[in-house]
Amino acid sequence: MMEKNEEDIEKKEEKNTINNNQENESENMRADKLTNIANTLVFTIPIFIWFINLICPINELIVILIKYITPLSILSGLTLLVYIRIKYPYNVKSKKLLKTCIITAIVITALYCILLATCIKMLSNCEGMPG
Amino acid sequence: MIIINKINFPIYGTIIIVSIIMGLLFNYLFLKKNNIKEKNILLYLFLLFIYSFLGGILFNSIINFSFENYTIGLSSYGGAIGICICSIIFEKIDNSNGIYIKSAILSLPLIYAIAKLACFFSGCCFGVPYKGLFSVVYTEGLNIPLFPVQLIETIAFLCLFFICYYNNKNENIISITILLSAIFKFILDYFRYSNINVFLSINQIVSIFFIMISIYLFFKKRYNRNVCN
Repeated sequence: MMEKNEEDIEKKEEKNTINNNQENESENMRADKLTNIANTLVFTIPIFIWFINLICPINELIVILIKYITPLSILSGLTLLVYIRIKYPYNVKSKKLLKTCIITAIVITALYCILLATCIKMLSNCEGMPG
Repeated sequence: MIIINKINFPIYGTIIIVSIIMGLLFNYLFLKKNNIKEKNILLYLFLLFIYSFLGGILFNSIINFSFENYTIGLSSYGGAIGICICSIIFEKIDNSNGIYIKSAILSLPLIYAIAKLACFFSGCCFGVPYKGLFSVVYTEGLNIPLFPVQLIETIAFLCLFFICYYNNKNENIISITILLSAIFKFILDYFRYSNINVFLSINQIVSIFFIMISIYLFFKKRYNRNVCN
């Protein structure tokens, strides 16, 4: 009788472990899917809009895309990313994406500052500039 | 009389960045004091920074809507709306009994007060013509004595920040902070040069909207308390 009980307990534990693993896997899959969506919103859509802007001449559609769609897309993507980081803290893919976002933001800011500094230097070297 | 000459330094951007950093620092310390997890605070601050910045750009694009004028600028009300939306979203993600919203709302007067110094030194958002005490002259701008409305805004909002912060245990502090900020903004907008012949500016319309929201929040809280009792 004792042996049978032990076997039953072992079987139950195994079943629980399998169920937990399956749940973790499905959660991880869900987090991965959400991370893909966040990636599209933060990077793919803004880069695509920037690319269109490079190719096409500035028209009303591009102004709307740049002024409204780009910030909204980045905002929603980052919000989704933060949601994933809080709800699924062990998901590796979202952690990597967040790191990429932060590094990209720092690089863009640094580039912008360098560009600004260069422009100021150029302007201060100009004498008798109109206006 | 204060005379401000042209400054060969990106003073506007520098002070704006300082104001945002001060706001983030205040939020960090306030949330830390209220026992919020370090990791969640950092994620919140990251999101807050992006929302305030892009909120300012988006709002400015909406109020200055034109297809011909292809410029980008920052609006203080846009930043404030962005911060409010961010705190509400984060409160939904990581429920903390309204600490995120309280922290964001309390930091708004501080950010605005410092940001107005940027306007003062760069010569934008200036006041109506005035020849009294502390009048300011921008030699690169209109070159006439003007009312130092940006400095008055800085002083008023700093006082508001300290008063609200020391009363942060008050259960209606969120609605009180929004109400007082909107009233200050509404009144001080009449002293701006750009609003001389304007009955109600867009900022004042948004202020009225914020006043209504604060009154709604106040009565909602009161109603909820009565229901609980």
